[in-house]
Amino acid sequence: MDNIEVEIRNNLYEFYDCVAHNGGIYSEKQDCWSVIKNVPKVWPRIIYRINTEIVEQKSSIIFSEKVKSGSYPELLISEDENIQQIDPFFRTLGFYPFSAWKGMAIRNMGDIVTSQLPETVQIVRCENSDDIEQWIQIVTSELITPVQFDKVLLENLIDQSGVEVYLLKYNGKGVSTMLVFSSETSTGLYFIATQKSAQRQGFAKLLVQQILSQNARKSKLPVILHATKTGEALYSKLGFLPFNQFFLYRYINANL
Amino acid sequence: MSRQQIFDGIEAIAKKIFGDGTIITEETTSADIEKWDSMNHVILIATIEKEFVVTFDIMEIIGITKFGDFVDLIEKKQDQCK
Repeated sequence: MDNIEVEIRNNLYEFYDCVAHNGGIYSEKQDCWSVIKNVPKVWPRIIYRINTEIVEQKSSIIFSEKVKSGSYPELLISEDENIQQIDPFFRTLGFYPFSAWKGMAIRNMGDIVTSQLPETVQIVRCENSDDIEQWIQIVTSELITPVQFDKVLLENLIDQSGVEVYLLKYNGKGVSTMLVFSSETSTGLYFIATQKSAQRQGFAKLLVQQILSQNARKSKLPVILHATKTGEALYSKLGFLPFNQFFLYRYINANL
Repeated sequence: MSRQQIFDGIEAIAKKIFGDGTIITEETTSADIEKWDSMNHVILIATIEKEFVVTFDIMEIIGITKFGDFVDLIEKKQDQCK
């Protein structure tokens, strides 16, 4: 397997671990999967880091019992290298696939082209309460509704080394968001969103370009992200290449 | 089962999930229906699979963006069974 695929995967998992740690959210690591527990209105329950061994009898029994006991996730993330093997097993437990993320990366930071910021646009690191509130409002409405991104969690993340939270402002008002999570071996871009009224005007592209340029000046590490189908075209234009794929499942009651 | 019959079956399921007043065409997408969020998307897929006694491959599910895609997939699976 290409190392970049490992990086794309590990950055995501380390980011979840970081969220759990800094949110005071209980997380659990079994042999074949990891879980961040559900905290209503703060963070959805997510199962990730799933190994193919989950379908083996001993592991599947433990996993099945966990699901049946009501301790099921709202979101489950599995990678393409094991998906065909695991998909039927998930379905028997009531998980259905509904979307996918493409793991994308830029390895050669020397190729980054940066546009000049227009005078009306400003990119700030979120540190004051007003910027944080605007960031939360955009991420909540565009990405994670009905869950509200928890302010205390975000403030805790901002205090961590390796986490940077950005807001792009147009005429002084926040319109695009991003969270940068740097592990020892890669830089991950998360929560890239643009307020509905400001979409299709190039703000997200501008924000990603500026952060890439900034990253290129201080690091040679690859930059990775996990793109939805709609975001994939934009990131391709910025130089990101597609690698692995992550499939997202939701749990539903089997008795429809 | 004709294409119209498949669509009618899907329309009935959509009304059950999204509400009686829901009007759909084959071109209707999730953006056109307020209640079509990720949870209802999953319920829609699972209900269609159950009612039409078909199983969609994971790659097929990822590619679904509008109601017409469901009709195409079910037609394809019918043809494969002939």
